[in-house]
Amino acid sequence: MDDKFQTIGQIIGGGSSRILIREKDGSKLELGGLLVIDDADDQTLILQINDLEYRSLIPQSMHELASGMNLEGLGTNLEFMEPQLRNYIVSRSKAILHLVDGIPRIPKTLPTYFNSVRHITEKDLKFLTKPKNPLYLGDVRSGSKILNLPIYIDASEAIPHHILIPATTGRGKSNLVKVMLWSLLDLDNFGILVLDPHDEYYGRNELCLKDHPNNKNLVYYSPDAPAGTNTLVINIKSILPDHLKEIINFSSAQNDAIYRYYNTFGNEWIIKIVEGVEIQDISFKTLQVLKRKFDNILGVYFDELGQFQSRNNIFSDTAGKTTIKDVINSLEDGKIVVIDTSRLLGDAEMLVGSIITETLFNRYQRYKLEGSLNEKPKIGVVIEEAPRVLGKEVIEAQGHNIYSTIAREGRKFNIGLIAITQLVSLIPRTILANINTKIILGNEMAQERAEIIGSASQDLSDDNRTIASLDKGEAIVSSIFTKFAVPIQIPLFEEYCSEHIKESEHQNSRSKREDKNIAFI
Amino acid sequence: MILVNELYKFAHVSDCHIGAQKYPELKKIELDVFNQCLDRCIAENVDFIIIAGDLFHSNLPNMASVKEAVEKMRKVKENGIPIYVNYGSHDYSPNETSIIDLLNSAGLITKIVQGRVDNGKLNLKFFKDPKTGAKICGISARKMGLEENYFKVLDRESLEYEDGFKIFVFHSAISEFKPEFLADMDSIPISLFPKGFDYYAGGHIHKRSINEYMGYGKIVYPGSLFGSYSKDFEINANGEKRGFYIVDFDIEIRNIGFIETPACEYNYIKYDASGKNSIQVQSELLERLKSENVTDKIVLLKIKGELSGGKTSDIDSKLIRNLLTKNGAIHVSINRHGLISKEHKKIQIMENNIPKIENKLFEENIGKIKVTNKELKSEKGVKFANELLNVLRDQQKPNEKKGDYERRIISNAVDTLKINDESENK
Amino acid sequence: MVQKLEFSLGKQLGNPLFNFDDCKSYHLNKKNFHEIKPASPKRKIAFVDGGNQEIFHAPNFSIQVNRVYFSMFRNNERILPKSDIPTKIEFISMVSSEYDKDKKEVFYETSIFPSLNDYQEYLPLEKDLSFSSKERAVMLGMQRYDIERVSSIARRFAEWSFSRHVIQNEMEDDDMIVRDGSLQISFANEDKYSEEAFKAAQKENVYFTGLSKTSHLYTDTGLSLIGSIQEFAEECGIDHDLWCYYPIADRWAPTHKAVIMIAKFNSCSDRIFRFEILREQFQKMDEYAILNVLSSIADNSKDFCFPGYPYGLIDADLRARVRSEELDIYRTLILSEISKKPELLNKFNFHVRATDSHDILNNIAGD
Repeated sequence: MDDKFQTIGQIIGGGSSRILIREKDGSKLELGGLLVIDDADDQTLILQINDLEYRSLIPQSMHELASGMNLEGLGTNLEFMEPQLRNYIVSRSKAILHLVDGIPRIPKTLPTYFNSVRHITEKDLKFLTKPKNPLYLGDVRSGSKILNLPIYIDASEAIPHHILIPATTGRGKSNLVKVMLWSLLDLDNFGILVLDPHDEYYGRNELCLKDHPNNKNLVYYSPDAPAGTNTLVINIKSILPDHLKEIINFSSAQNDAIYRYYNTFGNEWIIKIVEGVEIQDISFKTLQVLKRKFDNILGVYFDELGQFQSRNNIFSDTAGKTTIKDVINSLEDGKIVVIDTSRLLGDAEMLVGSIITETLFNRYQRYKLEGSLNEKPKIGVVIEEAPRVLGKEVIEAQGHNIYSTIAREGRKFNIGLIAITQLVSLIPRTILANINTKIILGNEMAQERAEIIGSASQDLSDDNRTIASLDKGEAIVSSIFTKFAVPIQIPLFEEYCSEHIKESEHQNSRSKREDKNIAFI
Repeated sequence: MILVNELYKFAHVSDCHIGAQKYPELKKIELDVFNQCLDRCIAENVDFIIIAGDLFHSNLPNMASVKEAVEKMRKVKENGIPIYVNYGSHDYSPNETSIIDLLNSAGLITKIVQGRVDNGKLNLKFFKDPKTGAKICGISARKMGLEENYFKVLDRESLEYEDGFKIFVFHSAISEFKPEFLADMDSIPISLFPKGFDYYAGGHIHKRSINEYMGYGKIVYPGSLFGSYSKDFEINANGEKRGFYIVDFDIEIRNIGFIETPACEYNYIKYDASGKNSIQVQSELLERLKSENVTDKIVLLKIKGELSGGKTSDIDSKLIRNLLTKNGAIHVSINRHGLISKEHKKIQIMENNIPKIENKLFEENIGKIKVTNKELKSEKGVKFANELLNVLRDQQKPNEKKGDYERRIISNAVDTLKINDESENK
Repeated sequence: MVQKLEFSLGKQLGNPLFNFDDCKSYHLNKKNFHEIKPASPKRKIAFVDGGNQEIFHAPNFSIQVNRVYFSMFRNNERILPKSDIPTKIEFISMVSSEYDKDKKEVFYETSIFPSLNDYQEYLPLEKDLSFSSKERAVMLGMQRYDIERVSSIARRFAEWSFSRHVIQNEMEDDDMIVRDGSLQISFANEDKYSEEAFKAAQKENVYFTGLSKTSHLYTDTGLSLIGSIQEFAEECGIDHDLWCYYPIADRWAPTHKAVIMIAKFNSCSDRIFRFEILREQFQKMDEYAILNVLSSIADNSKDFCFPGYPYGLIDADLRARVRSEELDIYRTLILSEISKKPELLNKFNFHVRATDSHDILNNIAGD
């Protein structure tokens, strides 16, 4: 018989919340492992291991004595005969899926007592088909064994319903995001805005998104743009008072001043403030504070020669008039737009994101009104350290911002968030409840795990330990679009994309020899 | 610091679009501003002139206009001032000779774009202005922004390595410096330009601007001398000054001065037709226009809004034009793109996709056509009509003779109609 | 009491005592200690044990659950049967007593109901299990034997019978079989089954042995023989890790065709056991062969839980044992069958109640 179908355990008790399975010696059952019970009448039950424990037919005192003798060098001619029979491991497992004629259902019955248990195979999960707009996340994983079964979610459903990626540092967040974006580059009908505070997704000096065979779908903005990419320069005149207000806390006097300047100078309001142009009724002090604030946040000031200057070269008084529009047009063309915000301070980064996102949101609202929304690509906005904009405190202090608005209402307008966070607990439950796909990576913080579990789309109450034990690259996908919380292994991005590139080169080796010598006029 | 006694000067002109205007009154202004420009260059005794593309409106423009322009250019040449050009998006044709080539051969102007593509890399050659020693190179435009491919393969390093006073001539929009109203225009990101040139002489954008960006010298667009599109006139009417730049330099740029080439006055009249029916609009408009001062002005009339009733065609442009001309307008341009009737709007919103609209129109109308052949009816008929339309839509290929083109289209259409046999039998 | 104990244990060790005319016992002698050296006899060893428990009991009948089990080991690894012989057989036996007015004797009759028909071939015949209550072996101290004890006969016979099948189906030349307990027989007709087993063993050249956890042998000074030999070993300063002691006695009784020895199978153990080898085989064996057989047992006697006692027998005991939880199941099953005949149930209850007051007391005592 095929190895895969070998019995690796047997049901020896338990109940619907936990089924006890005695492990066949040497089967090495793992936490999070997926097991299958073939019940009668084409019914199959898929279980997941939540816990493992030692059991023995030999009294505990005997073990302790034996151990003592071993440790003290006594009784070397004694042993436990047939240890595999008398000492064993029992797993507590939860039935996660009941397949009736291959159709998945939520388990409501227990499998036959004493039934044997085997490892899961790709065939058991054949109902996990490739959706129409496949967004690849990784391969199904049983414990640490990886099945040759890629897991896709339908980007068209998952993105507008938002995706949350909770994980602590070093568990492979950015690797996952890279894999997801790489996969999304293959799809032409999704606009993805990526605010990249670490400048890690484009691949300036290493293999990354720019090397995708379909990189015509990738648009990159950076203050230090490599040849052929766009320079991130935003005209200071595109910033409206409302954009800033969402991100920065202003006093009421400052707020008042801002609107006065805006009403007086229109879109030159920031320039005028920074230049120090005084207007009636606004105190000099307030103007100075605002000047300093804009210098701190945006890095803009007037030099001794009276020239407008930008410390980070991102905000300009002349260039970048169409940047926001260009970004949105690219998104609307179904492209992935990566914005390198590594040179921006946190608030300025959020501001850039806000301006783009808000403009986009307004545009999509209009499309919906006009009835043309469904012809437009769906949009995802990737934000790192999501609590900066989705945090309880931020929302309480500054009111709802464009991100929290998208989290609550974006679905109606086909705009969704792909939010990455270390601290789920900072995000209000009401927002978490709107995020319908969670790709849970390892997390050693108990409180964070509790929040993740509490807001998951499937009952993960028994998976606390499993989540804690997720290794780098291991994840659980809990989504209203998956039949169960699917454990996955996210491939190492470099390997995954190298392979993809190789495949695509192989396919294009014949057809791609033109263009080498274009005629020049 | 090196002290240089003498400052050199060059003029930077672009988008003259000679031959763009169809109306005699506008043709006159078009040439007038061009003459103003070159006269000024002679008067200022510039060392050379750069025309950064679209000197002419097409590769083979109206010969009367060409004649006059050439005469002026000869005068410039006689004054010892060379004119350096690249192709613009209008005056280059892939399969026909351009007037630029002609003038280049005649020695009236000099094409400074030289280079070749080797192993997928474009190596540009510098042209050195004999008098000033300024080193000039550049890239011409191709239609539909195809020049981006040149930029993509451009060997920037060797250009950046070159020393001396360097000018890069181009005829493209730069993404980072596009004016807001041209957001949808194809553009080249600044990162594809070689860094470190003293001056980037741009064309294509009909609005003047001097831009700066880290690592690059001045990036300058003089804008159009007069304008070739109605949008240009709108900009003019809003007070935009047209002209060109004269740049003082020695080892670096010392000054960039704008020289205006005034053309004429404008009157820009906007009229909102929303909520009114076509009859009301017509009478209201005529009444209002009577009181406008239009003498010796180019009049731009913009009618927009959604009519509450009647057809847009009820509003008689000819009547309006006659009135304004009678009142002394040099030229009248009526923009009614923003004017819609309710029915028209409906279709626009429902379908933005042209093939879908075509298909829809076929579907709606197929029933009205009385034919006996079942192949031409219902769904089959729609499919058939679409196929035929696709065949007939095919454009003449470059280098294809007109006769060959006609024969090809007819043959394809006959194939689609599947009537070969019958026609032969007949 | 301590004084009394001191006296009774302080006696001379004495010599093995066998109260049989046909028996000659040997004096304790240091020379009779033999060292069991670790050898590498990789023979297959079969261990056989049985268990029975009463489900219903009345003066005139007893219903029991019986189980006989065997397992095999080689190199201390369990070997599964190569034939289709089951590793355990289960059956219910019902012993009923009939009073023969003419002979003025109580006759016991046993019926056997295997839990699977397939087990039938391994079980004794019912006719061999019927006998008079006055029959020699059933009597103990001239008392009429308790019906419960009679009922265990079925299990004993089944052990012999099953052993024979194990030998015939599973064992080869130089293998050995170890029974739990002595090779002595005690009941009428038992010899029929034991002889067949012995013959099969001899035919296949399989050593037939028995190992007893408890021994009722004594010395002529009234001490336990096993205790005496252990003490004697100390006195003699026997420092072998493992040893055995023989000969102990010569006996030619038809009810006990075995040579008895006392053996210590593990150095960590302070226990020694009575071990027997079928006499006819023993006589053909040299010392090396004998010690080699013992060495095989020693090799299997290393388990932490019971050092010095073969693991195979621990396992056999565990599997053959009939547990009280099981009894309830059987009881329920049988009662539900009986209850289909209300009159029978009524009668059944009358008789069963006659003896189950002891169980009631046990229940009250929480035993």
